Order: sequence, then C-alpha cells, then structure tokens
Amino acid sequence: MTIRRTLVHAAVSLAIGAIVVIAGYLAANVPGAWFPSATPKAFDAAQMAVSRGRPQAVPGALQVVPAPGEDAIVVVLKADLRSTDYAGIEWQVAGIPADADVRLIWRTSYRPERLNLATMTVDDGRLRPIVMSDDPEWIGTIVGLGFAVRGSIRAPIEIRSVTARPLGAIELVRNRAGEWLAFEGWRATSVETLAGGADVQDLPLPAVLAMAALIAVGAYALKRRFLPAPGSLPWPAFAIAVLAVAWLVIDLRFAWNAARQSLLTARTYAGTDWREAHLAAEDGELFRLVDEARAKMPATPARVFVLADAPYFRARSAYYLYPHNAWFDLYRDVAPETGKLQTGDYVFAFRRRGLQYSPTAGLVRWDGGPELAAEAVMTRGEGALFLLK
Amino acid sequence: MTSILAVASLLCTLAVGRAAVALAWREPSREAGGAALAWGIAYPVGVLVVGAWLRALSALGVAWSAPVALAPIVFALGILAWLWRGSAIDGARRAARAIAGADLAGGARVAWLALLGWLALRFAFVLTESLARPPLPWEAWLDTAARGSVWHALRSPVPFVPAAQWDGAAYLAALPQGHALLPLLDVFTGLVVGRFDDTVIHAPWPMFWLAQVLLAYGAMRVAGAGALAALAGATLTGTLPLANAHAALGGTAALPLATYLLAAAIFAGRAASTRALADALLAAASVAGVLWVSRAGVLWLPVLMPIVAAAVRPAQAMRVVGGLVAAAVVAASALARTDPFAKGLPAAPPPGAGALAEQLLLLGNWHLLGYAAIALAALAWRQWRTPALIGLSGAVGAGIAVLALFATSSAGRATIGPTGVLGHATTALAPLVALWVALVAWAWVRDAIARDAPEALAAESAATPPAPDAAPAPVAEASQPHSPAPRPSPSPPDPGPR
Repeated sequence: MTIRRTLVHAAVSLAIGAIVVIAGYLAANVPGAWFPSATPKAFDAAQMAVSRGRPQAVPGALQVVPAPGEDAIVVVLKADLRSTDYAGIEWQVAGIPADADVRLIWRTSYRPERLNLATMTVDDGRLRPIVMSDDPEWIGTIVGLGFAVRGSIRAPIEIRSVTARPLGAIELVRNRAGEWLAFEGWRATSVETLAGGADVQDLPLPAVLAMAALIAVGAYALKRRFLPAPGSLPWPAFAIAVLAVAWLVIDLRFAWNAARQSLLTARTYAGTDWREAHLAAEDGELFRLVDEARAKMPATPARVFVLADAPYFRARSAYYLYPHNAWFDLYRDVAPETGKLQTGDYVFAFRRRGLQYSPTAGLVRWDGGPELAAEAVMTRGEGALFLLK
Repeated sequence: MTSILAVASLLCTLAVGRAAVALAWREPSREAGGAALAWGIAYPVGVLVVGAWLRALSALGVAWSAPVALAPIVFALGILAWLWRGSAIDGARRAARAIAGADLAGGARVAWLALLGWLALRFAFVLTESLARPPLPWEAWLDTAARGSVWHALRSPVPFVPAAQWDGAAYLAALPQGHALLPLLDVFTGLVVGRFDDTVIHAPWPMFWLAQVLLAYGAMRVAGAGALAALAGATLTGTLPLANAHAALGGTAALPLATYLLAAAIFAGRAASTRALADALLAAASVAGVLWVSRAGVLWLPVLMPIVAAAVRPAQAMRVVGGLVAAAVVAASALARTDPFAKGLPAAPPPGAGALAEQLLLLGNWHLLGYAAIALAALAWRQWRTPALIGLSGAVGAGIAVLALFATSSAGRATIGPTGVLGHATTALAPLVALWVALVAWAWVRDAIARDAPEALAAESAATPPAPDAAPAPVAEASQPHSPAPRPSPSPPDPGPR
C-alpha cells in the first residue's frame, strides 16, 4: 500500500471515528429535539436592568460592581420565551471571581409570583451555558430572566448579552466548532498554557481526535483480525498513519490561528520602529509617559521609586525606566519606607490613588504618610514624576 | 534594518557554535543524521560560547562593545574557512540535494517537501513574531530583558538583588533571578543590533526551536530511520504548540532549557556508547547549558541518568533503568511530601496532578502528544524496552517523575506563579517526549511490517530505487530488520554538509 493510499484510508477512518464521537456527544447532550424549529434568541446589554449593584454602560456591554457595603449584583431583563423551545441559556459575561456564587433567575407565566433560581458554573471568569430543560420550574412561558452574583467582587463584571438556545444537534455542533476555531491571540500567559481555541470548551478537540483515532484503529484491528485481506497494512502502521492525520488536523487549527495572529501582528506593528512599536502596544500610554519622564531625568542612572495601583504598571514602569535604578514592589501596592528616600531621588507614579501633591507648597505625600519636599518634574494625564528635594 | 541586524546576530552565534562543534567533531556527515546533529547543536553551543565570552570580558574588566563581542565570530569564521577549505561547495551542493529530497521518489518526495514546507512556514511564523513586538511574557521582560537592558546600558553584569536587600547600590530583582546566560544573550543581540531594541532582542528564541527540529531529525536518522520518517519525527517536535509560543514570544528559559535537555539526552547516549571524545564534549556542553540556562535545570539532570546507564550497561539495561526510574519516582514523592522548595515562599497550593493531566490531554498545549505517549507506552512495549530505546524510555519515565514533582510541590514556583509552573515544566520535557514517541512509533511500524507484511515491503522496494540517504516512508522501512544494538546505524552516510 502506498503512502498516499495509507493516509487517505487513515483520514477516512478518522473522519468516521470523529462522526461517531460527535454523535455520541450529541446523544448525551442534546436535551430535546435534535432538529428543533426555534432559532436562538439573543438579548443585548441595552435590554438589561440592574436591580442590585452600580451599573456603568460601556459600548456593547454593561459593567456592574456591587453597591458600597454589598457583595452582590443582580441583573434582570424581560423575556418572552417558550420553555419547550429553549432548553439552554448562555450568558456572555466576563470577570466573575472563581469562587463566586452565581444563580440564574427566571420567572414564568405559569407562576409569575415565584422567583426561580438555578446554580451556574464559573469557568475562567466566565459562565458556562446552563441546560434548563430538566428543571421542573422551567415551564410555560419564561417572562423574565436574570442572574445574580455573590462573592468578593473587586473588579467590574462585564455583561455583553444573554442567548436563549434551543440546543439542537446542529447548534451544538456549530458551537463546539466555533469554540475550536475561536481566535486565541497572544497574551502574557500564552507561554503558560494555550486553550486551543475558546478559553472555555465543552468538548476539547484533542479529546475528540484521540477518541476518534481509538475507534478508527480499533475497528481496523478487528477487521484485520476477523476479515483479513491480503496485502493489508499491519495495524500498528495504520495506527501511526491515523495519528499522523489527526496530528495534521489539529495542527491545521493551530496554523489557522497562527495565520490570524500574523495578520494582527502585521496590522499592529508592521513598519514600526522601536518607539512606534511600543506606542502601538497594549501599554502604549504608559510607555509614552515613561518616555517623557526619562527625558526629564539625568543621563546617568538615578534612583527612582515607582508607584501604581496595578502590579503590571509598577513592574512595567520600572522596566521602561531602566537603566535608572528603579524600586517597586511587585506583589504589594505599598510605598517605600521613608528611610529609603533621599534627596535627589525620583518618584514616578502612574494610575496611583492616594498620591497628593501641592504645587504651591512643593510637597508630595502618599497614603497619608509624611509630606516630602518635592518638585513635580512632569505631570501628564495619569502619570507624574517628582524629584525629591 | 534592526531586524536584519538581529538576524545577523543569530548567524554570528550559529557560526561560533558551528566552529566550536567542528573543532570537536570533524566529520559528522560520515554517519546518517550526523550533519543535522552537528547543525542542531551548533546554535545552543554558540550561545554558551557567546555567554562565556561576555562573562570573561567582564571578569577581565573589559567593557562590552560590539567589536569586542564580535571577536569570536571573526575567529569562528576563520576556523570554518580553514576546516572546510576545498569542501564547502561540494558540501553545500549535497545539502541542497538532500533538502530538495532528490533521492526520494514519488509520494515520498511529495511528503518530504510538504513536511519541509510546513516546518519552514512555522519557522517563518515564530521568527516574524519574535521580531515584531515588545516582550510580552512576564519573565521575558521582568527578568531576562530587565537584566539584559541594564547590563547592556552599563556594559557590565551589575548585580540585581531581592527587594528586601535593595539599598540603591544594586538593582532590584522583582523575581528570583534566573541564571545569567539568557540576559547575556540579550546583551549580545543588543551589541550586534547597536542598541537594546527590545522588539527584536528575543530573536534567538526561534533558533532554539530550529535546533530542536534539527536535533530530532538527526537523532532519528542516527537511530536508523529513513529521511522521511526522520523528518516526520522532527515535524512532531517542531509543531508542539506551547513550544511554538515560547519561540514566538521569546525571553523565557523553558524553550532553551528544553533544547539543551534534548541535546544532552542525545549526546549523553552517544557518548556513553561510542566513548568518542566529540560526543563527550558535546554532551558536556549540553549539560552545561541545562545548568546555566535555568534555575530549574538541575532538577532535570536525573533525566539523563537512564540514558547513560543503559548505554554503559547494555546487558543489565532493563534492570538498571527500571531501578533508576523507580528511584526518581520515590525521590519525587519524597520531595513532593516534604516540599523543601516552599521555603521562603508564600503559602499556595501546588497545581496538582489534575491540572497536569488537563494541560497534557485537554488543552491545546501539546496537540496529541500525551495521548500518543500513553498509547505507545501501552501498545509498543516490546519496542521501547529494546536496548536501542530503553535509555530514552527511562529518560521519559524519569522526566515524568520530575514533571509530577513540579505539579505536586512548590518547585518552580519561585520564579513563576503556580499557573505557569506546569506550562514551563512541560515545555522543558515535551521535545524529548516527542522524540521518544517518534522513535518508538517508527520502531513499532518497522517491526510490524517486517513481521506481518514483508510482501508490502518487497513491493515498495521494487517500486523505489535504492537511494543513498532515503529510507522511504515507515511502510517501507521494514527492510531494516530490528537490531538490538544500542545504536543501530544501518543507513548510509548523510549527504548533507559537514
């Protein structure tokens, strides 16, 4: 058997195995009809109301934080959904703490006075879709939907939309394929882990291909055992051919993602020099401020204390300030001990609350500490550079 | 222009490394895969030479500058010109012929060119990414480029100290520092480029990727695999997604560590069986790289012990390697239980074995490598226990014990958060596992065809003319009967360059 025929045979077998795996997945996960007549129904952030928490509208989303002294938020909206048509609810939400208690809320026309609750699962800051068709209270017409979050919510929770889904077979397949092909751009954590598509996946592609390969090889081995054909390939050779094809399939997905990343990189950085590339990067605003600050500092390395609320900005400011000798605390948002400070030292601050400067008196202080004589060498936007006197 | 100079710095380092390798190993192309191994180890060795040179200069009180930093390159080019006098053009011709797959026929040649094109695309991707953006991973700028930029600006490796010891005299190290090799490499790139341009400073990382691919190809050829099977094995190594991410983003120690570990495994095995000085020197250089490139390097050294033991004691290889793997498992369990690595760190739970399994089997980090390794361990047990593979199998076993240690203790957490520990640790081991998977798979197929379908082999042999460097695809490789020798080398010499 030639290489080409072996690979084609392996590819067809793998495809059949994948169909079997996906069919099994659908059999276990389609809650109602495989081919429902209803189509998904989406509600955007503009249709939502916040009954607990402080809302802030941002383009295309709603950001909510708990009201002062509270630890919960509740978002609601009016709906008109036949429960028999819509088996699942999917919230497009980001920023939910991992340990938060999240509940889906709904009211029905059948018992409008009753507020129903179901526990939702948080995965990597997002909410997993919830299947409601098995819930006895998911009945009649759903007239109101919402969700409640309770926990240590420090950053705003961003709600983009909610979609009621019939969860038919085609929709589930489309969703899973969408998860596999979702663009995964570079992040600082891309050297730690790659999801292989969407951050949260119900059916990871490696597992599907592994099971499909197992089925394909198992079927081939059985066929060769009980229906041997002259000239057929030994099953280990066939198994490796199947592995090669499966590897090619999953690497094609990676290559597709890489091609999209290359386009994005080219759009962002092509033709830029060092300075322009930094200005085009995610923290371009910080780079611009540090660059201005450096221009006001001596050419020889000086001592500079870096203050910022976020660890990333503390560390990144220090990095941009090199070769000046920067002090910062990566892990805690703390100011330097007063004893460390000397006349001639610089203090660079970026997005730092609790920093006060009196230009008339020429005094700076932070976090209610002692006032220090200083000159504001640069103040621009959210950043400032002080020279201690 | 900056990008061109950055690429020039890569070529300079490669030339230095290749000259160093050539001094130790004069005729690598005498054996199949030797040329690929020599070129594969060249860049990692070049990095060691460049790092040592910069260290030596600072020890002698010489301020770094481009002319001084480039002195070894001039020396290296001189050595290569002398060693390759009269044979360079012939070598280049043979290399071009081998790369074009001229000795392969029909579908095998199409597959060869397709795989080569695929790898070339991947290299282009990681190289262009590494030459485009400011450093992104935390360790890349908070440790490697932070020290690199200060050292480059001050032309000297000034000390960095922990925050508690900072008094304004030395620089503050936000993370527990890695070893000096990678910041020195940043400095070298900066000196060649003419300024510390951190958008190109991590251009060397794709070269570590390339070194892995060449080493995997060479190791498979040396083990007796044909050119196409060896390239398929190298493709396995070159398409590991998380390793690709490290190559594209650069600045972290895991990928260089993986390269040195892979090289150390290959050359330690060769040195123990051939007792050749060249292999011993290259093995020693690779071990030095493992130790100098990362603080975690020392934890990976036990991985090499089964390889050496199997080569030194082939008659008792199974027993000795089994004992070493068992010892590694026991040691890893004891260390995980006592967790001496937690000293001085804030209390935090280790990632756990479940997270390790998720990383290996469910996420997009390693494609199907985890599944393939498990399947071959279960199905191809006759092959991985053979004298030719038992050492590498033991290395993978010991490597998994080390990986489990990272998953169940605070090892590695000193420099990166618990979430990143597994990603970095698996990156260090994955190329070695990929090589093992490729070798075991190749041996499994070869033996199965020799046993079950020799007629397929005969037909293939009749259809394909014998070629000097081209054992065809796995289906045709059963003509090479399985040899129990530690290093069966049935293929004729590589026609590649020296």
